Amino acid sequence: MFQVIHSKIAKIADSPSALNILYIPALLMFAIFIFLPFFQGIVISFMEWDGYSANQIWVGINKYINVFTDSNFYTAVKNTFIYGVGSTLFQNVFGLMFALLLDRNTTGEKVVRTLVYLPAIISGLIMGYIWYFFFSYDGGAINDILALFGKEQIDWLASGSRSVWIITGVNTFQYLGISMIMYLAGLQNISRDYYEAADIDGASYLSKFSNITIPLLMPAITVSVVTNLIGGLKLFDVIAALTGGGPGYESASISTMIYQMYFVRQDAGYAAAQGNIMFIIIAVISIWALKFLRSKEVEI
Amino acid sequence: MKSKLIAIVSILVIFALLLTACGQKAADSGKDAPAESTLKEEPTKEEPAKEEPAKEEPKKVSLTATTNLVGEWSKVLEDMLKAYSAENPNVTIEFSAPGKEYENLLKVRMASSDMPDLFSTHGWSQIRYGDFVADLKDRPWASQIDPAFKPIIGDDTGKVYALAFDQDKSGPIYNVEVFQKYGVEVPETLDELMAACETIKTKSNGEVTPIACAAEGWEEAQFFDFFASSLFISPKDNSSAQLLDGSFDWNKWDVLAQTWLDMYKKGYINKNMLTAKYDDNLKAMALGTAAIGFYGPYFIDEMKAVNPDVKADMMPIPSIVAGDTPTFAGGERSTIAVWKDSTNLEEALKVIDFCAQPDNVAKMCTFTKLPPALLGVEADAGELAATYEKYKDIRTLPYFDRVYLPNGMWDVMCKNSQMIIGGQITARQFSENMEKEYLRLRSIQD
Repeated sequence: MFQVIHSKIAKIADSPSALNILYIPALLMFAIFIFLPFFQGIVISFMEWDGYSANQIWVGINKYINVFTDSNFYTAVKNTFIYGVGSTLFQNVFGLMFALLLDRNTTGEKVVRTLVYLPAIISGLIMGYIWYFFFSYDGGAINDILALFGKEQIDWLASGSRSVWIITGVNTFQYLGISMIMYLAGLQNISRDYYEAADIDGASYLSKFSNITIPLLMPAITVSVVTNLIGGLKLFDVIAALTGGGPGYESASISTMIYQMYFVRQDAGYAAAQGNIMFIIIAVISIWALKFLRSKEVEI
Repeated sequence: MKSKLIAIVSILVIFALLLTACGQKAADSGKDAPAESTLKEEPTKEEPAKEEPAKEEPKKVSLTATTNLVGEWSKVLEDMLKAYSAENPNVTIEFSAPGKEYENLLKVRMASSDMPDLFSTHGWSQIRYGDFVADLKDRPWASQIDPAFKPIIGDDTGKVYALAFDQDKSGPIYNVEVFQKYGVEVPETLDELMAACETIKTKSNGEVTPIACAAEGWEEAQFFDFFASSLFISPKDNSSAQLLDGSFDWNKWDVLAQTWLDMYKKGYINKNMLTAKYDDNLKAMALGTAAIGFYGPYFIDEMKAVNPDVKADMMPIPSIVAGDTPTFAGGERSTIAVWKDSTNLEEALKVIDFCAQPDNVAKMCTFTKLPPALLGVEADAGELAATYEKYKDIRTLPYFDRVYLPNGMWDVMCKNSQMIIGGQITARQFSENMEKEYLRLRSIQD
């Protein structure tokens, strides 16, 4: 009996189209948790709705017009680019630096690697609160140090432009360990033969770095940059913990503004419109980045 | 390769079967409860209910209760519900107090029509939760609601929206010792408040902040909630009708916005208002490095938790218009309502009746130090008893935003009060933003 079942399953399994069955669970999950809410979001973006009552009034493209005429939205877009592009730049530069430093069998290398990676396992919200105690005006660690040297206290997070860069810095600090791990894995996949050949030819460190390391590290760079970019553009928890997007909307990202508009301002249509625009922004940027970086990868 | 594939397919099939089985179990238990409660309800309509308990064990009932109350305050309610369960062992009440996220969680549940059986309405029983709450007018305690408070918790049709344990009575809180040290009297008008702030700031050489506030999403708007009432509602010639019918002239709001900005520029409000947190101001008020806060009576107990020796009191909200008198802001505070579509409606109503017993109402009012909302309940307001006695003739007007602004305007006040301090908008723009959102939200909620 078992032999019969076994041979029947084997026959089905032999057919290539049978493999398509294995996609079904993933497709179902995607449909329920990604596609359905996405299309519902598009519908809501054409409605005047407070997010919970039975009244939904069709308003056409009014919400999109409101978004494009709202100066606070442009502030949030500018900040989102800083969080996305800024964090990505710093995370990858510092991540690569640490990877290069740690890609040698030195004493303490594993300890340093763990310490650099540790912040990545802490929740973004907790990380934000930890850094709040550094930058707090009253009793913050940095102001206490300034007071020790007789300097005046600074309200670090009161200035929108300053708090945007502080948030970028905190996000960089939290996730550069992930970039470091990706680059370490990438570096360890580069054959030493190339470096030995370059040494024989008298190549300098910089020459080896730009002509061997970077080209062969491109796959890791692609993954790291695209992942960091998407994470940075969607940044929410660090902002919520440090500044709440304030003062006003000065340090808000599109994500925090969507939260504000839906849950606090009770303008679900406006929040949905912003969400759809954010989807387009992130999709365009990440697809472009992926294509650009993939084009730089070398075939050996 | 083939055997690997077979193994993978077999594992997936087994996994899917297990998931289906678990889902079926949950679906079955979900199906049973409504069917049973429906069955149970029919006999009570036709026959005296007394016969049922004698024949069989009371069926197990599970209720969910969630509240905006936090910390020890929520524990008072939780203990009440536990006491009910102890008296009725067949009833289990799953209690949760999500804190800051309570309102957002309830909004999501309202959108999916999946409300908890019992929930707090925190001032919004009519305007926000009105369509979701059961009418409590026929409950035995409904006739005991303080007539002065009844319009807050009920409407013209006689519907009672929630059980209110206490009546909120709020005004600015001040550190008594700071006032005494700098020879400041409790101000009765806004001008006197500004003068008091100037005195405190000058005599303390800037070491004591006259007013402690934080841009945390509600504190900065409290100034507007208090003083909008003083400016637009309290005076004899007021704008209450215009605010209710949508014809209010928002140019009048410029005065309030400008006053707020002037207070900050003159150094009456803490410099780090835009980044301070509630706890920073609590500490400052408790330790005497700040004098006044736009909070409520609950703040005094929290100050004492930081500094047990602190002397703090509540003042009425100063008047603004010449000839007018100070007021308090009032409304719902600790409440509990029943979801009208609860599958265990009868049991939930019995829980409310239990909470409405005088002893239970007294427990809540003793904690909050607020007057009870039900007649015939004796509660100890502690040191605030003297305050309530001192100001017993002061009018209590409903919280401005709950009656005169559509639901959702609070965030507009918060954000704009931050933006005007940060220099991003002017007082005029503040008023324009208020008007725009006022009209938008009214259009949805009308």
